[in-house]
Order: sequence, then C-alpha cells, then structure tokens
Amino acid sequence: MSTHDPADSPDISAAAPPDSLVHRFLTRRKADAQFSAFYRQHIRPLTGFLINHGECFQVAADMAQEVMTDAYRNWERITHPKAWVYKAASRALVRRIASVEEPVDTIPEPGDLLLRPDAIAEWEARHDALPLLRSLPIKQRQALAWTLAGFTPTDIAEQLGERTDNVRANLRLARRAAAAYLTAREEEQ
Amino acid sequence: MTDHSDDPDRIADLWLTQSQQALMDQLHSVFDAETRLREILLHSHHETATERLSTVLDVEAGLHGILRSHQAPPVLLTDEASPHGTDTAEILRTLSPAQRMALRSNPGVKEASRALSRDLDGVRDLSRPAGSDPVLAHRFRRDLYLRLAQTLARDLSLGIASGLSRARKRAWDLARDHMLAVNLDLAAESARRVARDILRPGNGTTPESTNVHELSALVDTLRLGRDRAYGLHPAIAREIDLARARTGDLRKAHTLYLADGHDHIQAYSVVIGTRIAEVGRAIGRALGREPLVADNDSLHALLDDFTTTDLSSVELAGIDLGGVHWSEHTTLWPPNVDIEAMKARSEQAPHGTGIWIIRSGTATIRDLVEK
Repeated sequence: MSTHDPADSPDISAAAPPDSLVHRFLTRRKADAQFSAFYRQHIRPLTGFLINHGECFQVAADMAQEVMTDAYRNWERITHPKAWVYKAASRALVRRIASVEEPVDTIPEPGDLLLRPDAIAEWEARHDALPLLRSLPIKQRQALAWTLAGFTPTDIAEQLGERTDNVRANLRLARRAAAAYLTAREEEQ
Repeated sequence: MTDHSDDPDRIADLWLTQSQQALMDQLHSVFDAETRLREILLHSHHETATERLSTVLDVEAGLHGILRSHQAPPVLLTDEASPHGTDTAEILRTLSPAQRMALRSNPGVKEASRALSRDLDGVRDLSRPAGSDPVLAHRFRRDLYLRLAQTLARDLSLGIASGLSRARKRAWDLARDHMLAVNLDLAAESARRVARDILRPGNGTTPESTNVHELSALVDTLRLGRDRAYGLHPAIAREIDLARARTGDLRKAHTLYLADGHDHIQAYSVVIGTRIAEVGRAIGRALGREPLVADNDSLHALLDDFTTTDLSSVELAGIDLGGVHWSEHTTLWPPNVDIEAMKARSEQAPHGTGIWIIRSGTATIRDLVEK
C-alpha cells in the first residue's frame, strides 16, 4: 500500500481528466473541505438566528442541521452559501409556523450531540433578550434576527422579497420595542 | 462629536448586540459542531454509495459464483467480464467498507501494491540529486534503474507463467483439450525462461537474442491459445488476455533493461505505469472481473483512503491496516478501537488535516482494541 506523501512524490499521474475518478474524487474532497469550513463558521450563528426567531434551543439546532444537510447536498449549485442557508432556514420557519394548528409535537429530548444539554434550560432562562424577541410581531422579529445575523436591510429585503423601506421600518420598531423593554426593566428594578 | 450615551435606540442596539454575543458564546460551550458535521458528511457519502449500488451489484451472479465453487475468489460483482476494463469509480461506488478492506488484504492485491509502493520509493531516489560526484551519481542511477527494470521483468515473467498454468489447468479440467494445454505449457515455459535469463548473474550481459526470440514466440503462442480458448470459457480467455497484456509490458521492461539506464525518466514512466497496471490486474482477478483501469490516485482512493468511511460495523480482526489513511474527524471506527493507540501507530499527515496514516507492518485491530 502506498504510504507516501503525494506532496513530495514525482508527478506519477498526469493531470486528471475532467471526467476521471481522480478528478471527481479530488472535487469531492475539495467540496467537503469547503463545506466543513463553512459549517464550522456558520452552524452556531444559524442556530442563534433561529433562536432569535423564537424557537427553543433544541428545535433550532435540529432545524439548522437539516438546512446544513440540504446545503451540503446542493453544495455544487450554491453560489452564495450564507444567504442560501439563512433563506432556507427562514422558509423552514414559515413552514413550521404554518403548521402550528396541527397537533403539537412531542417536546424533543436534548440531543446527544449537545455537549452540555443540562446547561440549555439554565441559559435560556438567563438570556433576557429572548422574552423581548418572542413578544415582537413576526415581521419585526424577522428584521431584527436577520440584522443580528449580519445582514443589511437591503440584503434582508432581497432575501425575503420585500421592500427595503419596510424592512427598515420594522427594524426601527423592533429597536424601539427593545428600548421600551429596557426602560420598563430599569423602572422595575 | 454627538454623545449617543442617552439615546434609547443606541442603548437598545448595544444591548441587543451584547445579547447576541452572549448567545454565540453560549452556543460555543454547548454545541458539538464537529460531531454534527461528521454526521452530515458520512450520511451523504453513504447515501450516494447506496443510491447507485443496485444499478451495479448483481447479487444473483455473485451468489451463483459462490455456490459454484468454493475455490473461486470472492465474486462481489457481476461474474462475466465486461468488454472493457473495470472502472475504479464503479468499484468505489459498489464496494462496502468491509469489501474494500477485504480487497486490500487479498494476497495478490497486497503483493502488487507493495511492489508499486517499493518502486515509487525507487523512482523518488532516481529523481533526487545524488551527491556531487557525477561518476558516482551516474553509477547509482544506473544500478537503481537496472534493478527496477530487472525486478519488473522478472515479476511479469513469473506472473505470466503462473497465470498460464492456471488457465492450462482450467482448460484441461473443462475439455481435455490437448492442443490448448500444450500451447499454454509452451507459453508458460517461454515466460519462465525469460525470467531465468533476466535473473542470471552478471547484469548487462543479458542474452538479448534469446529473450527477444522467446518473447516473440510467447506472443504467437498466446495468440493461438486465445483463439482456441475463446469458445471454451471466458475466464480462460481472460487469463490469456492478461498474459498477452503482460507480455507487452515485459517487452517494454526488457527493452528498458537493455537500454542500460540512459533515460531514467522513461524508466520511471514504464516501471510505475506497469506497476499500477499490475495492481489493477490483481484487483480485477480478486473481483472476478476485467482488470481495473486506474491511476495511482484512484488506487489510493480505493485501497487506502478511509478518511470519510464508516468502519464502525466492519469486522477488522486480523486485517493488516498498514497504509490505511484515516481521519480523526470523519473516520468512524468500531467502538472497541483505542484511537490513541491508533494514533501511536500512525504517522500524521501534514498541514493539520487531522489525517493519519497507519505505519506498515505495525497494526492489526487486535493491537488497537481497548483492553
């Protein structure tokens, strides 16, 4: 069996023809490496994006994983992966909201892929922006979640098929709601 | 400068940004991204493999092959040879991880792979600058060159002889065809004579005319034998075709040997190309198929690369794992394998890829299970 490092070996095989196995193999390896880097960078922010939309941690983690799985399957065709996964996550949320009239699913068990499942509930209780986010009207929540994920109003408008003015207006309202929430909290203290 | 410290919107923005950062920090501490990533990569590779499996795998033919003869090599795919060489992509798609492990452990495949690996090392030596003394450098290259060509020619000759002996036995068992048997005996004897002459002490004094004559006779004999065997059994015809292909390679190796080391680039090309073809032939034989058409990279992908493979349910007892490439991120091992012991018996690939190569001759799975 070959145990050689290809980097220091002579050019044993000529450049792989486009349709050869070697070409396909190397293409897949390259795609795997690209996807892995993308996944590591974006899986947590994507999960956070879904949490900011009002989902609980476990559901958000599962939805983000499904979206990433779809992204991997379509990797060769995707030109802007970040926008693609956030848009796909957004659509998944819409489908989920549309199905709320159906019988409620069993509450998912904390997955074995979470390092500290017991810490989730504790953290959700401490994360005091969540009650505010969950109380916002859906359009405002959406505008805020996309903004916190690093998208501009123009990007958001393009991804959601809305007017930029509307996105800005919803964002403004969401900020005001946040400011009012903070004021009310201070007064309570 | 405007002071925004009391601007409620500004305060809200700051609070939201801090909350977002806290969310990200928390996700980092509770989220096992590497395991989730591995799940996607493995699942998808498995799906791709199984989607195409049914289009290639001929279960009935495989079962028939097993039932027909206990001595037959494991018939994993279709029993009848395809008219063209077998494609590595097809094999990669079709074989399970367990079958790939079995294939790399097949004695013929193992021997051919080892010879390829050894000659690749030799070619590296040919490609390196060999000191400052030009006379010594030339002698070093010439000796190495002759050794590579000689060993290749010997292996091919002996391979031809043993393949023809198998074909002869099968032809005799099937049809008691005296003419074909004599034909194949003569061809096998020619191949053995070439091997003996090549191995005769005193390099550079090869009986050139004898070998050229033998090789021509061998080609003629095989042509006759092939025509006769064609109607007898496809496996016999395939064995003779293999001997013919090897004879073509043997002629090249022989010419190379006689050229006495003046062109080491050509030597490298012929020797390595033939060694790769030999591994492809051994794989074809192990699978009961046409020789595999492959290059060095695809052979590596097929036989050594287990970096994204799920081996968790593969029975690895007694399997020589030397040369296996594995990833600490995406290879799944059986639960009783001690990963740290595996790392201790492996070399780490460069660039922090998390890929390891198990050192040859160091490990079977018994050495690596957790006690």
